[in-house]
Amino acid sequence: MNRILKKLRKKNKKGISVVIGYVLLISMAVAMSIVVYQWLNTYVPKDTPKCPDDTSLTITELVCDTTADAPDLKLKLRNNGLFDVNGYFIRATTSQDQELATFDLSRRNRNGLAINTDYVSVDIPINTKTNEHIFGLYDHANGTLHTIYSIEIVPIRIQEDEKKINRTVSCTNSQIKEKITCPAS
Amino acid sequence: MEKNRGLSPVIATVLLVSIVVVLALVVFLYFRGTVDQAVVKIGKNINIVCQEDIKFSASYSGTPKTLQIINNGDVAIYDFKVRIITGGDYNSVSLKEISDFNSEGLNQGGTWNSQTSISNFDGADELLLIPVLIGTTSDGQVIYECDSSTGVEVTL
Repeated sequence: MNRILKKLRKKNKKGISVVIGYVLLISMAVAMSIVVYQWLNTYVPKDTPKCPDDTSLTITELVCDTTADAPDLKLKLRNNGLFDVNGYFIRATTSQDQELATFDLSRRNRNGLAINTDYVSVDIPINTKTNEHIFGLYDHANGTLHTIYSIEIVPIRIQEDEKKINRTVSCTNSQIKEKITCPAS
Repeated sequence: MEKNRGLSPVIATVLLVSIVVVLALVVFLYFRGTVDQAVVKIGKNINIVCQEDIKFSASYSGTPKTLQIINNGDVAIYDFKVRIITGGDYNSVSLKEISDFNSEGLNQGGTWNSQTSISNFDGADELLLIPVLIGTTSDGQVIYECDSSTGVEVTL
């Protein structure tokens, strides 16, 4: 009887050690694969929203209005592309030999358009024309009059990403440039 | 006597397992220091963001000459590493250190114009502007300098 019990005990112990071995092995493999997965997952290309190629805005009217005391830049835009536009960046050059337009006009809007960070937030559906958008060139805070030599407009679209989160996408390929000296010297 | 003989394999197994676990921990902690942690921005590895999502234009022009930068991409740029190239030599500085570059960086579509000429560029032939981004790791936010191949050259 004692012998049989001994054999059983021995058998049991052997069995447990094998199970522990498997459990350890599998859990280590799982843990390692989780770590490797999380690291490699960041390298998997994800679809970030891009602006469609057929997004397009045109300037239908561009006027330098100097009739008032402080000159204004007035413009109308038309969406002649195949996609709706949800706003635009507007920048200008302030010297003739300046290569990049870095003077931000969006915050100089004078007819109550919504400004979101650095862009004019206004919906322009396909085949529609905007009302007049007015930008002041006189800095009332420090009494400086800015003369601009060209303007640059980049359309913006709000698009959903993979997680259905709205992202602002700038349509750099649909950028428009127009030369205008305002106020004219 | 029988009890003592029964204990020794259990102790051996426990010792073996604990030694293996400790060794594994030591090896893991050692290699963790040598392998770069994955830095992530907008859900992607920041290396890929640097290559695919960063777009900016830069120029050193105007009277007086000023440095102008426009962020044309959809990702904010925190800073630039400026490689000032003179002849065959170059030295690198942070744009924030040598100018009044925005402390929060350039947002999507953001522009920046240095108010004056930058004296560090005197006598230099060209610049290489390398974007610096803010990414996140498991330890929190980190500043990450993109590869120099993503930089934009500016002729002075």
